[in-house]
Amino acid sequence: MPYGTTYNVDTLELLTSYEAYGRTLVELGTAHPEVVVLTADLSRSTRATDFFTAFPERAFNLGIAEQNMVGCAAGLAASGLVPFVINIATFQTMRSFEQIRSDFGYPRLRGVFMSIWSGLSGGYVGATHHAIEDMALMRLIPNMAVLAPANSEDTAAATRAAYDYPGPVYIRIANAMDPSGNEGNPFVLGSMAVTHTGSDATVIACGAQVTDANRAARRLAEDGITVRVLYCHTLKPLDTAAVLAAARETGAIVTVEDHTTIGGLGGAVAETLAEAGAGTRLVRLGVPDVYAPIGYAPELYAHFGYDADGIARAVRQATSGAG
Amino acid sequence: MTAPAQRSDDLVRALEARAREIREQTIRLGVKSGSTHFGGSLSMVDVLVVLYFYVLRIDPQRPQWEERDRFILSKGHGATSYCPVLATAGFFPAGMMDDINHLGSAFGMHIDMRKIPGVDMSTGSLGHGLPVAVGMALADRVQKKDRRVFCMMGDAEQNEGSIWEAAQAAGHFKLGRLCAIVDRNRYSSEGDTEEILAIEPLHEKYAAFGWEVRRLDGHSIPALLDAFAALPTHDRTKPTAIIADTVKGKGVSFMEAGATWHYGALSEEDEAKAIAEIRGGAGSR
Repeated sequence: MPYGTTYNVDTLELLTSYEAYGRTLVELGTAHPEVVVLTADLSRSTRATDFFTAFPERAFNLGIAEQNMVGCAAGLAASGLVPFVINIATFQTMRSFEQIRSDFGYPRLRGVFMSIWSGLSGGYVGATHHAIEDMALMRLIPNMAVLAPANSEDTAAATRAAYDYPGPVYIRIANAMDPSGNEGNPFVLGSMAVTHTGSDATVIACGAQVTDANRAARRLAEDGITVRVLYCHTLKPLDTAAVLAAARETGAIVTVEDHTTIGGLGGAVAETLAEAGAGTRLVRLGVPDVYAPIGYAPELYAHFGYDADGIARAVRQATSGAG
Repeated sequence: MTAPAQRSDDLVRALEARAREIREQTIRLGVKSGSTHFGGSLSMVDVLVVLYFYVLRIDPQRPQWEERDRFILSKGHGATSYCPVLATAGFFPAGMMDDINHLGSAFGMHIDMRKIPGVDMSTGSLGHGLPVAVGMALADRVQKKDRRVFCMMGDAEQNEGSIWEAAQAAGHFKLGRLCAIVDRNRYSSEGDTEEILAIEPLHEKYAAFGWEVRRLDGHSIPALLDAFAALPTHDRTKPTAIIADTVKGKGVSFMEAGATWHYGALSEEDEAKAIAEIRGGAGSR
């Protein structure tokens, strides 16, 4: 049984985000002969198989050797090719961090680091496979763009945008993603989209959590609390104007991310608010500087209070002045 | 690219003279730097000279020429001799190095591909070069080119696990146009490699990973010319590892003393002494 099959949402879109980028890779590969794909023995589980079948001479399984894989990707990039490096988020960002930083970030080589199993979306895979530090680590690297699309359509859009970006790009995607979340907004790298309108508070969410943020906003509206939901698919470069507008125009800000609350979306928003001198109340939802227990992903999100119920609870507390 | 028959004593003498020039420039640039990695910069000079002034297919007027052979200095701390080699080859005027280490200079302790013409990959952190070289060799295959890729590594750098990940990949993918060189000067920063974390038997290790291995005197111009002339042709599938036995600090007697001159600063008096020795061809061998 695939991971995440107990994800209890209305219109579950299980694993189709992987299929979306798999298809997009083939599309990009067809249009651009310089696209190459590298994996560390994960082509099947990351749905890169279509590219491997379509372009075997441009697809490389480099075995379970992540440092070499990223170094090779840099060698390919320095030769004029555009590598898409596909891996599980935690290994992608930590096993080969220095290669990403010094071989891609420093010389600003083009390359896309496509990572699956973001946050706790792997559920019971346990802490070794939970990627709760990846966005913070990638944000640290100069020249790097950091993307966290919310659904399969945007995963495809992010993959295309990453190809066009003039430097390295990190993209994280979750195991299970709901097709909703963007409400027809076009994907524009570097800008946030408003997916729900309101003025009592703003919820800024990234990745699959955008769906839960929208769900929470709809529930709160029934109780007369109106919430602006900002879909932050680009953590870097961050749309600081949208953050500061939310601080001016709404009462409180709640950030939601499937990631440690340190250094990711909550961290980026906190830095923006503090530097601007905005005294807005800020609540950061996510994993609170601990390793997560074993559990199915939805159970873990409820456990840490960033499922739809938890987000609604946090907004109520932030807008009532309690808590 | 060159059969042994094409070599002449004149060529050998010219390359030896070029090596002396580069060693002298290394000392001068090191002094300008304040302090630097003299030992490992001097040990690899002869290999660099044979590559850059005879073997490599390059065009210094077109540093980004697509068809050029690639060279990666994985031991990026060897910049003190490598940058003078690039300047002498004509990639940039030597005067460009005058502001070395100062704010905004293209030149510091390690090398930056975005700032220094002729540098194919930014390096500094050990263990990065061979994976990148493997990627460049794979790129040749994707792009259907006949470029060769050379990667110069340090010997203590062989302690890095990423080197062996790359060695594994080069053997597996049968990258016959890849050549790795190990500057086997026997000493790391703190002492004898075999006492710190033994790397030998290096020949057997690379052979076991599917490489063709040659071990030679890394200061013998004829031996280096022969080794590079024998590099695999198109139909050969094994990557080549050249283990170049060298002397750390080669060419300056007081620097040829183990790990002592891995890194350091030269007094004016010692600078003059070093240059006199290099010009006189003194030192070991």
